[in-house]
Amino acid sequence: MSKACIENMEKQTVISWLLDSIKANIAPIAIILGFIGVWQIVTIVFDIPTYLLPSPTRVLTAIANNSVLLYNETIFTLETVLIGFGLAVAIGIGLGLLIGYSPFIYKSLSPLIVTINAIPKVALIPILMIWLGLNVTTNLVTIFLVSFFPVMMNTYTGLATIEKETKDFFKVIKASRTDLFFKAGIPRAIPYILASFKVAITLAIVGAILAETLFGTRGIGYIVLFATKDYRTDLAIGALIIIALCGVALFGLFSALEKRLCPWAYR
Amino acid sequence: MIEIKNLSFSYITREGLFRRTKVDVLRNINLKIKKNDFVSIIGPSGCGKSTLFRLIAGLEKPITGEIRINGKELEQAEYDIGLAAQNPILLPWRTNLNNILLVPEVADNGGRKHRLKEYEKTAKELLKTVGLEGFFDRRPYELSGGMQQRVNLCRALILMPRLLLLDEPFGALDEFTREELWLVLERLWLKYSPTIVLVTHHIDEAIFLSNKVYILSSRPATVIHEEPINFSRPRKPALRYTPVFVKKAGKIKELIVKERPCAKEGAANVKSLH
Repeated sequence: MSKACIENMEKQTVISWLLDSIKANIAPIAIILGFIGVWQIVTIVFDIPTYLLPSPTRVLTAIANNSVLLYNETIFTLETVLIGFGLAVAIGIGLGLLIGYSPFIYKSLSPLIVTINAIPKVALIPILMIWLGLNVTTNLVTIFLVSFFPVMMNTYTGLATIEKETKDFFKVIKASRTDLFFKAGIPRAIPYILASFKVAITLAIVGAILAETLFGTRGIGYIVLFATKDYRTDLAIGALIIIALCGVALFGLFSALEKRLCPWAYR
Repeated sequence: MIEIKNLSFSYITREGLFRRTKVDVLRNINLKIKKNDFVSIIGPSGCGKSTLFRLIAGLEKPITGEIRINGKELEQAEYDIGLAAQNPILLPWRTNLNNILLVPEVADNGGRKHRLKEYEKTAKELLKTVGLEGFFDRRPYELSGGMQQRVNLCRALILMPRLLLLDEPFGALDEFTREELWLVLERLWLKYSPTIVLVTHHIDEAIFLSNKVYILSSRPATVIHEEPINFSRPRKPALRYTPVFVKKAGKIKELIVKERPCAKEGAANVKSLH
């Protein structure tokens, strides 16, 4: 952004800034509004029963009428998502650094890790329920299992793709392998790691909802489960829209973090 | 002094499951490079120039023959080597100055770290010499290709190595920038006088910069000619268009063209016709 542009922005009022950003994003806004409009018209014109497809206004009403419930359960789901995601990030980066440091460790560990990742997680949840019980630990382990893999793989990829020329250069100046790892490898891996966060956070939400709809007693997934049992499709769709918006917000947060933390990778 | 004696190198390639072929890359190379000299190695493309470069840098081990530095084998020789290649591989998250300081930070297993302050002074002086004063705190991606290559040269020289190895350092640059950097490199050499071995396929570059040009044959490469270059220093860009220079370039080009595999085959075909 140019200096003149920033100075202009400071002079602007909040309203004109809002108008400007609407102008700049006119196409996506039009598409979203169009989508909602078509949805509303279709439900009216074809007189679709609410339990099949509630109109957007019905969904909004359901959200408003159940706002306290939805707020509490969204917080619950987001809490488990963030804790599970935190575990996935910590362990994913740790394992990624480990297998990226040494080809021997990579060769030794990767078959097991890849196999664990290849297990369909949906089918694993009942077993986790036997092992860990019907409590939040099972949610967290599910979220972790669904989302750690991309973090680990991206960390590894960042380290494994150090240019041959860089390795040669370090060798010629008699630098240690540890220095190559810390000074060339890890900074290089950071954009890869941050990119994986965007994938992992989306998967973490999937994992959380999965666990909640299978056995949960709380959370957005549980709301969807009990609402659909009563044919309260409007509430179920409302709950899903809220969690989807949370996902979008987290995705946007990590995109912004990426650009802030490694400007060299997004020039 | 660097002495290369009867150096040969080959590697095994796998073709399919069972077939293995030995590819001879270098055959019986003999060179003597004096201390503080500036020599170029030139040859047809794919002849093994880069392999020779990697051997001198200690990145590959000779199969037969040896490379001696001041009478000692390369591995035992305590000899600092500076390295710059076509890809400047500057780290994008470090500033130009810190890219250069990376070398004393990690070189010799961190053994030079305590003198980082001194090296910072040297790095700044080097950057000034190549005309990059005021770019210390910029990042490599804010620079043009030619400027990145200037930083690369500074980084190669920061430890004041006695041997500077250059593998096509200007290969990716346009002709104008290239000529500019010849002058920069010569300035660096005159100021710090490291021994320089420049591997290139640019004939004018080799003649313009060095005191001696070694011409390699096609694969397996061996030295087919040594051309002494005796122009006075510092050399000026106009030198390139003097008759003596052009004549030397023509001579070297002819020697290399003769070495091209298709030229050889052509000659063989002509023979078989007779």
